[in-house]
Order: sequence, then C-alpha cells, then structure tokens
Amino acid sequence: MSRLRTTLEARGNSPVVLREQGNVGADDILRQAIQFSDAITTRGACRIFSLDDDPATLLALLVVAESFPVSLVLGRASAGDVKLPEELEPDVVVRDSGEIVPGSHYSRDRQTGCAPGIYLLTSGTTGRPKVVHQTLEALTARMRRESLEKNRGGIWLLTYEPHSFAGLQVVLSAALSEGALVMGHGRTATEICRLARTFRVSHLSGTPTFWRSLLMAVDSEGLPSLRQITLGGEAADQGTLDRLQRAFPQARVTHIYASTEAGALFAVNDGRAGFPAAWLGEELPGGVRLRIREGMLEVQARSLMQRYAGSHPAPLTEDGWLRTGDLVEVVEDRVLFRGRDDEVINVAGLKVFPREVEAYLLAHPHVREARVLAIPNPMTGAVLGAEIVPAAGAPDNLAQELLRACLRDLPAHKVPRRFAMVERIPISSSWKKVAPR
Amino acid sequence: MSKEEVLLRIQAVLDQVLDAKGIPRVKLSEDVAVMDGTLPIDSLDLAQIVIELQSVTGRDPFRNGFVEFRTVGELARLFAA
Repeated sequence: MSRLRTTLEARGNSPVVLREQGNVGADDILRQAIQFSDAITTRGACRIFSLDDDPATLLALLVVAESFPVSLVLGRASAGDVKLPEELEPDVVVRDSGEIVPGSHYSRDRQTGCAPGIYLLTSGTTGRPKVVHQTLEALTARMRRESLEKNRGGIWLLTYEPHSFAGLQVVLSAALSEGALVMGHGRTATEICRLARTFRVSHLSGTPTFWRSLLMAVDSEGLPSLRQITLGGEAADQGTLDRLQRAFPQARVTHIYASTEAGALFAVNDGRAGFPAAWLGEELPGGVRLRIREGMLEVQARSLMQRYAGSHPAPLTEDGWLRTGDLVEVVEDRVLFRGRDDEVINVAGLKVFPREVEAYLLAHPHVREARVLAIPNPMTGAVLGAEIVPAAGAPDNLAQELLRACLRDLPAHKVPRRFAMVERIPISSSWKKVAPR
Repeated sequence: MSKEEVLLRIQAVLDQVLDAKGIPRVKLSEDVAVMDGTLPIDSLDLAQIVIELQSVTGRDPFRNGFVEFRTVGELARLFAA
C-alpha cells in the first residue's frame, strides 16, 4: 500500500509538523523521503535503524518503508547502544536531522535474512528490550477503520516518544487524516499546556499518568480547542476519566487498549473504566477477539505482532492467542483491568494488584496522584504502602482519612498501611509511573 | 529511642488503627499480649505497627529472620536503643 505517500502528495505543501521555529510541509517530507531512497538504494541497504526522533524524518522513513522492501528499526537516541539481533544489524543508521551513516556491519554483499516491515523496540522496563515485527498495514489498521474521516484536519500534539508504538499511532493518525502534528521540546505538563493553547490543539493522547499531570498544570482557562482526549499505555481508572470529562466537557474522552505486540485493539468511549463484558463473546472490528484465561486477558487480531526478532518466542498460546500480561476481572457488565501479572504484591498469602488500589485512591477527591508499593515486614511478608500527591486544599490529616476510607471500602489485605505525602511521583520518559523495585 | 518512647509510638499507631476502624481505643501496658486476642487487632494491623517502628527508630530487629515476641513490652524492647 502507498497510502501514506499518496496522502502526503495530495496535501502539496500544507504543513504536517507544526513547530514554533517553523513548520514542515508535506512536500518537505516527500523530498526527504526521496533523499533517503537514493541513499539507501545506492548502498543496497535493506536494514535501516533510525535513532532520529523528528516526526518529519520518521514520516519520510515510513514512506520509504512502504515503497521498498526494507526493514525499518525504530529506536530513540538512547537506544543507540541496544544490541539488535544479528539479522537486524543495520546497514545504515539514521541519526539526528536525517544524517545517514553506515552501520558497523555494513557490506554490500550481506544477505537480507530479515523480513521487510517495521521493527519496534518494546519499552520493557526490565531486561533487554524485545524487538517486535509489525507491518505498516497493521499499524494503521485501526485508525483507517474507525477514525480517519472523523478526525480530518485535526491538530495533534505528541506526548509520546515518536518512535514508540503509541507515538507512531499519533504521527500516522495526524498524517493520514490530513491533520498536523505539534512538536515541541518541552516534556513538562506545563509546557505541553502552553503548546496546546498556542497551536489550538484538538487531539491529545497520553497515558493516564500524563493526564493527571496535565490536570495539575492546566489553569482556569482550560484548553477550549480540545475535541478528542485519548488515554492509552496504562489502564484508565474511573477517577481520572471522571476528572477529565469534568475539566474538558467539550471533548470526547476515549481510552484505548493497545500494545506494541498486539497493535491497537479497541477503543472505549462510554466514559467508564474497563470495557463491556459483552465484548468477550463477540468479534470486534479488525478481527479482534477477547477472552479471559486464568484471570489474564488474551487477544487475537489481524494486527497481532508477526513475531519477535531474534530468539524470543512470541508469547502466544498453542491455539494462537496472545497472552497480554494484563489481569482482568469481570464485575457485573464490565471487564476491569486489575494490573500486570508482573506487578502482583503478596500480602499475607493473598494477591494484590497495586493498580487496583491506586485506582481506588485516585477516585478520592483529595488525591491527585497515587503510587502503591510493597513494604516488606516479618508478619505478613509485605503490606501495602502508598505515596500520595495531595490535591490543593487537602486536609492535614489526609493520611488518617485515607486509612479510614480504605478500611471501610477495601478488604483488609488491600489497605495501604502507610501513607507518605509526596510532592511528585517519578514518571518515566514515556509518561508512565515508574514502578518501585 | 527509649523503651518508653517506643511504647508511646505503639500506642499512637494503635490509636490510629482503632480510630480508623471505629473501634474504642485500648490503653496498652507492657504485659498485654500482642496477638492472643486480647487486643482487637489482626496481623495486618500488627504489620502496620512494626513498619512504623522500623521507620521511626531506623532499626530492623527482623533483618536476619523472625524474632519471637509475645507482649507489647517485648516488642518495644526489640526497637528500643
């Protein structure tokens, strides 16, 4: 398919990337794509490793990737020292501002040995990142199916790393729906607020942690240009969804279930956390099917990853379902996310998902942000502790108030036994809460 | 921290827990047994008392494994300097 190139060609010189220091037009991106094509074809290169985090360069490379049988590995600059599987050792590396340099293993005679497509590094918090093979077709499936027409002409602001799965979704959505992408250097919520106001951003997508930070930064003027609020990357909790809808009544609030491995699977627009339990028996658009096995959400979809590069086996069941690692529970008509299987805390022999307790705390009116962690002790193995960023006007005895509320509403083993009031909770570069180790 | 100060701390955490549960406060003394049912607390409440003592005293008497204690006084002595 050459949809991306065709769309860019149709746009002539209209701006695709908006910047305070000058916009980048569709024709600039196509010109860069031609330069890349020349540089790559004259070298006979087929493995490209891009460390450039400029969305315009990224779009140019994606045009190349849909026109030639190349393997495009996307990483950010700090991933430059990542050891890629041998088959993906790059022939050329694209560095800042589109500079192309030969890879360390480059030779004209090297065999291909790897499937063409897009290779994404997972943001795995532990160990070496895995490399997931995706196709541009799969990466754009959901947006083409559901939202290109509806989102036409939107102004999108990028809060994710452009090279990440979520970042690519935003970059490609903006380009394919004939919108524009706002790119700033600021990584703070205050700076993102300022950019959103300056460029009258209509589409903003971020993690729930990002949105809670933004809610703290936005002033009484609000962001009246916002039409679409999207949450992804972490499970969206009811407290955050409610606060967003109150703060931005003119915008639609959507939370998306997606991962690098599975692609973008479904979107929930009814303002409630989790997704309808009725979906478990249905085939959703894109061939998406959902089931629960041993408390874990398993999925099938046409956008499912092709495979991991290198020696990692794909985490598929024998009958071809992807085990997501997300633990869920059916509560009445809803499937609710409880946490990741690698985040379980054992309290007195009982499993607790810290995210579930965080979601409870975040619904409290005096809590802005919360992080739940394990505190080891000799009596029960561990008990929960909670770090709390209090909301403005929170009472001095908030810790005692929260303890009382938790003891009233939660089973005893899910009650945090120590509350620490903090100014902020560490957030990773991908706007996710850093899990305490 | 002296044994008396540790005892005061135990009383304070116990008061917090009982207040939060809406149970009448209980006045502690050294010879009260911790977990034989005399006190209206469970092992999670006791864990809360212990992590608080670890935090305020900076001591961890259980670092090398569990140490037996039966009464409030014995618990206080484990954390007293």
